[in-house]
Amino acid sequence: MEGIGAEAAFMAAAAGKAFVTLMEPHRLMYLMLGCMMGLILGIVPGIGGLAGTAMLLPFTFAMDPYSAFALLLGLGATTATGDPIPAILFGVPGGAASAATVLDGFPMAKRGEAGRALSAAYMSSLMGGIFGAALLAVSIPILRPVMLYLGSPELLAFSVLGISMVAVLSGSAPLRGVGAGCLGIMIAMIGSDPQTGTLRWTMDSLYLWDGLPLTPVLLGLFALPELCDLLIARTAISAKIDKESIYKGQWQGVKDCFENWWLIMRCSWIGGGIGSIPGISASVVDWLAYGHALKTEKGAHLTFGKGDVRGVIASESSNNAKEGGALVPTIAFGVPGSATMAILLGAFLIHGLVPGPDMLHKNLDITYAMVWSVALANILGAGACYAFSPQFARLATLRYTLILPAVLSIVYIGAFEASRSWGDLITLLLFGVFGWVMKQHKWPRPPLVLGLVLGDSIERYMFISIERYGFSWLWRPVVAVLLAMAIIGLVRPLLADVRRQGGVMKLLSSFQAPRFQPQQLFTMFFICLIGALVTAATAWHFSAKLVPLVVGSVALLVAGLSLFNEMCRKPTAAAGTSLVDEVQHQVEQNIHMDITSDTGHLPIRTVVTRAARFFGYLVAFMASMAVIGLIPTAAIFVVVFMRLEGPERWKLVIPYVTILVGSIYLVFHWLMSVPWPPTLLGQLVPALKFIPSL
Amino acid sequence: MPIGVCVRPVAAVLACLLGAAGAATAQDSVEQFYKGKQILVIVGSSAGGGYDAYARLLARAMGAAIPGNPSIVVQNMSGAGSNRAAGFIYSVAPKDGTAIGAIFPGAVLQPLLSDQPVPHDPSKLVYLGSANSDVYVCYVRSDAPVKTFKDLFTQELIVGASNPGATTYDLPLLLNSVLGTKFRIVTGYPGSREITLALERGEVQGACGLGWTGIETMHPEWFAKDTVRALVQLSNTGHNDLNKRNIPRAGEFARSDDDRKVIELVFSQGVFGRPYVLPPGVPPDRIAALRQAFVTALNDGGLRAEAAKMQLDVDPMAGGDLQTLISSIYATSPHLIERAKQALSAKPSAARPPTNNPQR
Repeated sequence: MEGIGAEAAFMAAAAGKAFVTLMEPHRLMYLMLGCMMGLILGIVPGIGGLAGTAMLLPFTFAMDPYSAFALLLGLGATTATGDPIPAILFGVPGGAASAATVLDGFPMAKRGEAGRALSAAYMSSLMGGIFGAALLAVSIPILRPVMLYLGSPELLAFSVLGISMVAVLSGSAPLRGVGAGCLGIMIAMIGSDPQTGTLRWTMDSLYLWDGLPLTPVLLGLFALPELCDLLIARTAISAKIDKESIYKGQWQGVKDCFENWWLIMRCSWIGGGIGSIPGISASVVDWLAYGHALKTEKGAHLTFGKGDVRGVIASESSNNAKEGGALVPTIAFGVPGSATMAILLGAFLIHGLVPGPDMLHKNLDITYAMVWSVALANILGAGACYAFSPQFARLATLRYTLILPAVLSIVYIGAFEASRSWGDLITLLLFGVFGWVMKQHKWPRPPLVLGLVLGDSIERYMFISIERYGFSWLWRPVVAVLLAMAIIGLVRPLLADVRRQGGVMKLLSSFQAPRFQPQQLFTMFFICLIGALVTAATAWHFSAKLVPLVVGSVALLVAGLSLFNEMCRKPTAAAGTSLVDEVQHQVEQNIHMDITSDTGHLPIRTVVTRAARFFGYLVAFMASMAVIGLIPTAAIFVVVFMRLEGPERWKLVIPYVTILVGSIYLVFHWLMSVPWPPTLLGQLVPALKFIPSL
Repeated sequence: MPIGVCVRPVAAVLACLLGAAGAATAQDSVEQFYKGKQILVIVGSSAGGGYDAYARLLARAMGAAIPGNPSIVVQNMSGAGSNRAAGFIYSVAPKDGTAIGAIFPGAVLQPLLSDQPVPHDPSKLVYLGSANSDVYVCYVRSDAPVKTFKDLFTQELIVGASNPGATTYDLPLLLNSVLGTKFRIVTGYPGSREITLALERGEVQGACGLGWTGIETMHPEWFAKDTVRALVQLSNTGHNDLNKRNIPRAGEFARSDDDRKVIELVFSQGVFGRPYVLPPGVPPDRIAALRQAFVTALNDGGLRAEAAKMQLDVDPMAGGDLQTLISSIYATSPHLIERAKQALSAKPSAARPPTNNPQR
């Protein structure tokens, strides 16, 4: 007991010393400076804090360690703070970990509740960040033993548990959800295989060697479909709202957070916990927290995805806590939990700090200074965004002709920043079309992302576990518990569903002769796609094709079943009921029947022509970029779009295009000097190369 | 012919003068060219890695050493084991000396030793030099049954590796197939840091192909407390510290001259640990100026002090020397290259069905 008491006293003393040191005015100033830069960099999707931190690093050499980490962590922790703004207002995830925010935040904005959603997002970010830091602060003494206990089998089990969330996140279409999840895993397999070096599905392109980068896929899957639907609907995202109701909404968002403090706490622990596991990507914590909330919150399965504030709260509280979590493996082992942390690791060495046991004893006060820096940065960042959120909320009321050009340009550049190659833009476009069709046909998109992010670690750690331990690892206690949880999580919703349908017998007896509907074309396309991938895989080495073939077979099976259901199941009698609740209840009950398309009030012909127009703009953008480069293209695109779609007045178009293109030029060409891909005109007439990005 | 006798010294003097003037003009024109220009250093890894740290360190000092003092900006272009960046430098980047590539040694050597097509020809790149050399080492936990390198010929050692093409995989595989060691290679760790962690937690007994300086910096306590030992050096010359401690070099265990040469061929990538390249076709005077600036910058006192603080080991190799080395590597006799290729493809071929593809 005495030992524990002494340990606690030592920790408290270190924590106190760190806090006092950090509170010195010049250190606080560095922290604020970092926060400010983080917020600005974080608004553009895809850039994140990585480039910013790398550029800042040299300036921290001359500082003392406390100030250096205050500046770097201030920047790193707040880049995700700006993410919910585009996610809620435009449906564009600002970063990998706020894709789940779109699901409920965007419908809220459409309903005129952008103020409430933003305020809830910030309050939960803030609280989540603090809870996460608190968890980190108290768990410091057990960090190293716990982390040393987690071997590859445990990492595998964690990944499997994560992917079992597919069952929850598929909503009323479990078969399609599993199919999409499998496709996600297969997409994760693209690139050089870790076991044999086989180039899987790379189509002889260097771009695909390392697999698809996450940002363009996410922007394609979630951002483009929303923007496309905005063009189809040709309205503002939300109706005009008066000042008063914005402030009211803002207050309501704060109340929401305090009412759901227990949810915030759980989700922030999920975020902090997963962020702290070295070797597993934390870019799906938002989905895991969202899935958790969906499973545990009362009535969530009826309202989530339709603008339930708890969805926003779950997602945002988890992703802000993850930065604090990512500190853990960096401090304790020198294994960075995120890319920003990798740069931080460089800063460690410069200040003579070696990650490992010393950081938890001799340099404990510096470790605590980092924990406080993250917590304070969260407060400052979320506070600043909270203060400005009424202004942001009004953006949602603008005409689509004003929103789309800027947001689309930023989405393009954000995707391009992933690896700065043409492949990023092609990925963005392909997944944009795919995501839009999925959305129209009510195929759940979250499982695809889960598969994409976790598929790689599942394959890696499965091979390592089997190669190292045979099959004995299955009996390790943590592994057994996690895998059991995963199986229960996968099977229970299915069984419950079957029961709701009236048992297996009734399910099997309600078939009819197959009927074709145009919506089934997508399922058929899906089956063909998986079939083609599987066929290409059969020629590989055994270890390279094992996972793709198993996952591909499952995908074919569930997609086949889904198609069979769509064609052969009898429609239910209650389809004509007028009460909204009744219909919702029916959708819930007839889980395999959910094939109604999302055309809304517009006729299908209009929807299709306008969607074609939207993607036509994107193709034209890329074609023009190939000829004259990105920056001139952005200028032309904005002008053409605003004149053709509006038409907006020139008086508005000219300042708009000047400011937008000017800032793109400043940030990307001048400040970050992005190496632009070669253009046709630049090669033909080299004299014109003075034009930026040509 | 008195006139002729007379003419010769005059011609010599003239030639001499012209030559000097020529050199001066070259210097001037280089200076004129770089004045107010920006040089782009393309790093083949993402921000935060070792290659990135070196490039940013160099970029801060090199501008001042180039005539005309251009500004230098670092950009990251990760992908395909830096083959993407190498391809960008080789065919897309301007060939006027305003683009420098910082690529992995693998992007220089792999095209020779593997059949995977890449978009660049390493033997045609212009080498600016290498920022350091690295000595790869096999590490073993002291609680593992394998105590010395000789034990490895009779006993199995489980080592962690990331993927084929990485030194952590290729080097133990090479020793298995050329020397007959018994490394059991567990593949799939995302990177060297994850391998080190697996070593620390005892999931693997050892690891091969991790650079000595990096490991010594990050884990000094391993060697101080003797929890982990260096087993063998995977290098042709070895590291001074390790040579002093009598850690053997793998080449000493070769049973034939050819075996030794194959091992040396693959190990040669350690000599140029951080290569910097220019596209083919850069004017020779600018190449000379950049090569000179590269060495000057890396020997600069301020840079060295900063590097020491960052725990980065700086040991520049001049561009001319590196160019000669690469040419000689690419002139290795075909049967040795073929043997090295076979040695590095040993593991997959065990599971691979026999093919009749004549190109293999």
